[in-house]
Amino acid sequence: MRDIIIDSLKALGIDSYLITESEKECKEMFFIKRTLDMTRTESLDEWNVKVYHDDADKKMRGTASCMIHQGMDEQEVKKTLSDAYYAAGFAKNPYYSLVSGQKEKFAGAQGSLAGVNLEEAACRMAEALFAADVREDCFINSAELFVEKRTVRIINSEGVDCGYETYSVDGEFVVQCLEPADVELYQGFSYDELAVDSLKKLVADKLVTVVDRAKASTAPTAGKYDVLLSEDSVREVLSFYSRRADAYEIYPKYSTYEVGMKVQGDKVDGEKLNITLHSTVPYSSDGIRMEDCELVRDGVLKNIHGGLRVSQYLNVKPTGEYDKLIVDNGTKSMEELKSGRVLYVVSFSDFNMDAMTGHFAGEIRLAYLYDGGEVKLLTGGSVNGSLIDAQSNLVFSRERYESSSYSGPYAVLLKGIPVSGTV
Amino acid sequence: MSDKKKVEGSSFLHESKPALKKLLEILLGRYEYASVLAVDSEAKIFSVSASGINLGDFGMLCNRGFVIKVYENGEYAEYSFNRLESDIKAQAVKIIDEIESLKKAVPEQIERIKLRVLKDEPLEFVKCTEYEVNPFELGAQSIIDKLTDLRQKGLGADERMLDCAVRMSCQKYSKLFLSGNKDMEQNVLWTDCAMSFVARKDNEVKSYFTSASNLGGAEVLDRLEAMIPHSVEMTVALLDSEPMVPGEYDCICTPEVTGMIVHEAFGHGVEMDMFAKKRALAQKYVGEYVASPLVNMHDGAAVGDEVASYFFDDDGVVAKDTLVIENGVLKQGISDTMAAMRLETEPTGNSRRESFRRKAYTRMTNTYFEAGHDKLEDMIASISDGFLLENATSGMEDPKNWGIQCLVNMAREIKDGKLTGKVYSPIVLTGYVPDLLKSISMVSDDFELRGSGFCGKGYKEFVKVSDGGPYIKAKIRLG
Repeated sequence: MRDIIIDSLKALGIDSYLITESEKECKEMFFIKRTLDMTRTESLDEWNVKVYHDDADKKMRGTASCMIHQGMDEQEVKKTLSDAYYAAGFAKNPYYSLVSGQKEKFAGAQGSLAGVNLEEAACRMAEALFAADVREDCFINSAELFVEKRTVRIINSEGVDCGYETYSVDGEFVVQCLEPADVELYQGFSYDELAVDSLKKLVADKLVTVVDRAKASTAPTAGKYDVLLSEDSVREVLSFYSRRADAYEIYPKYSTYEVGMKVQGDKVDGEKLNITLHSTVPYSSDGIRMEDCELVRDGVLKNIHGGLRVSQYLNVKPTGEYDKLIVDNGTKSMEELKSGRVLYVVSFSDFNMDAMTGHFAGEIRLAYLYDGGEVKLLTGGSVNGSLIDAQSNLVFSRERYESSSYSGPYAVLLKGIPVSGTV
Repeated sequence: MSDKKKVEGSSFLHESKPALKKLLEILLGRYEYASVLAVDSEAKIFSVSASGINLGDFGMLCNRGFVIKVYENGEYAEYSFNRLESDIKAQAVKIIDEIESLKKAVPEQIERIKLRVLKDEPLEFVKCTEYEVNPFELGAQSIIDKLTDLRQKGLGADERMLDCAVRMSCQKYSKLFLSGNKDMEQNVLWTDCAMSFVARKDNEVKSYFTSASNLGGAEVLDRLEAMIPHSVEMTVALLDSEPMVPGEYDCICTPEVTGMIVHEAFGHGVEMDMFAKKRALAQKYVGEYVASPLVNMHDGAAVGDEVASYFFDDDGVVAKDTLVIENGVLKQGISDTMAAMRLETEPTGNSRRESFRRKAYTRMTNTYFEAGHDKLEDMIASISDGFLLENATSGMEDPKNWGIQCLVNMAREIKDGKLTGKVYSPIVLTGYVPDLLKSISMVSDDFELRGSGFCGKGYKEFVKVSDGGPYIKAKIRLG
């Protein structure tokens, strides 16, 4: 199919293009309690082609993308590309250049997942999933497991020809506790290694949490709290900075970030942020070779990141897309962070950070209120705060948390956050 | 005479059908049950904003491929693929090998219970939806020109506007469902469009969102222009908004906020795959009052000509109109075929897949409260101290505990029966779902369905849905 696409582009006189070829193999298992609900296999390959349509003087460039599917014959491919090229002529934006490159060595996957076949990986991760499900007071209600191998090749008209493969294990599970209240908690997971021990520990931890959730019955009293967030909620909060520093937000002036700006404000009473952006794949969707990007150092914005087009408009180096935040350790232990009067929210129904406004919010599934040595279990109510108000006084844990999209402090303390609840 | 045209079928599916029937025949020789769902879907997205003009295929909706479902000895398995080989016999052998190999990889400690075989009643038809203006034939220039014009009108309406992003998307899909007794084809087209208004004051950016959608073509674009004046007024009002003082208030919900409550707070809780997992509180309340007697709730792909309308679902069950709540009483949930089989109930035509690549789950379609008899002005006049909740932002389901988590962009203050012009933002709705639904005391005679977004099952499996209803008055805890 690749040859048909390239030959068609040549025949149509389309000089500028980007072809992304994807192959995917996935083994899936679905469970209800400790019974099998279904197995699934996914096997497919497809091509996405971007074509670029320039003005004669190369001041404006239009682009359109199209999908090329298995089963398309040469005529259908040609018509699809031709239609896309015609349409691109009406999507004119100021000119920008494509990535220039050459044929690169294929980046094969390394690591423990690449060393076993997908069925075996699925079997071992399924065993890990249920390893801690031996308690009498709580159990796994249901779970889904996806073990995937993906191969990507990127080719463009400026010589780029690169490719890589990735392996991943993703999924989710729901833990349930029946007494004293019938409650459940949802947990997702994502690894790029055969992370048997990590998954075992994650399930064991969440089984403990759901037992506490079953004991919690009252909402916090409405008011302002020092709120402690952990694990993926920390990533969600800190994603504010990467989104604000995205060229795609800066170019239309949604974000006022500029390099050298003190992102936490002039006066920082808490800890200063140190954030690096990382990509888990070696090439961006445009074929840029990915490198770590120092985003914030000691609270100061060091770089803007973004894709080809708007980065060039802003006269900054296109970096490609990042999918992982790496954050420096904090200064306090978890025990120190829980001292004083602190509302530690360990589970939300959903937790959202609005990068446009800086507001974050979530309904509380389970929180621990630490107050003068006492601990109270709470559920209900919601956290509804502003990072712009809270960012000058952040405190991070020394303990770390690792996932496929985050490596950094396990927890962050945000001071004086409005919490709704009982009045 | 109607000037509507019928959506045409897919020549790819028609040409693939003999090979798929051959594949099915081989599978039926090996398994007790086998079915093939074949999909050919094309979708486009066009947008104009301060970032520039973008257009192209709407990636997640563009797909062409097949999913096989087989049953043997009480177990189900599926195989999704998109390459149909010339040697179908050899391909069938390979598919069977892969299916059986994965079954063997299931760890020994996992119990292998025996599920029943799916019903396969005879059914044969070809059905198509209709449209006025085919967005795939309208041409990129016409669409971009129209979007650009709308954007200029939005931007020009107030000097404080930072951006006015306009987009249109459309999907035309054809599906073929083949099993031992079924041979069904459907061809469906929907189009939606939206405008996002952005204004900035100091460090904060405020935005307001409006949309329109239909089961049809680009004629839906004509609805956007009338929405611009109010949207701009609200965007600008948001610049002076204040944080909400947490508490319980008398509130009126606009139809789109009603839709979010119907969908997120209650609808997910009656998805019966959650019943099969004993994850939904609603299961215990069938036959009981869960809402005010003023409330009648429906879900169905057979009702409301909207983006989630179709003729059969992704497991080959004919679309229905399910009356979920009747006069405040929970009558029944909605279900996919696998959940119905486990629960020994009838499936309601709600098996939906994100694409042929994914598993089918119980999913909502067009979900709404029926209109009532009250007038909006009377509802506002009835409130001495409360809010009009407007511009739904997002929501998250909680079937197990019926906890509400919905985010709304703005609450417009009502004092002594009148809107004061004061605005609070952002707003978090919390509380217990039946408490909110039972507190509904007025229901307007308006009715509006919108389907500009996607619905996820948890954090994945995105499918197109619509939701809505009338204005409702209820007591709601805001934060």
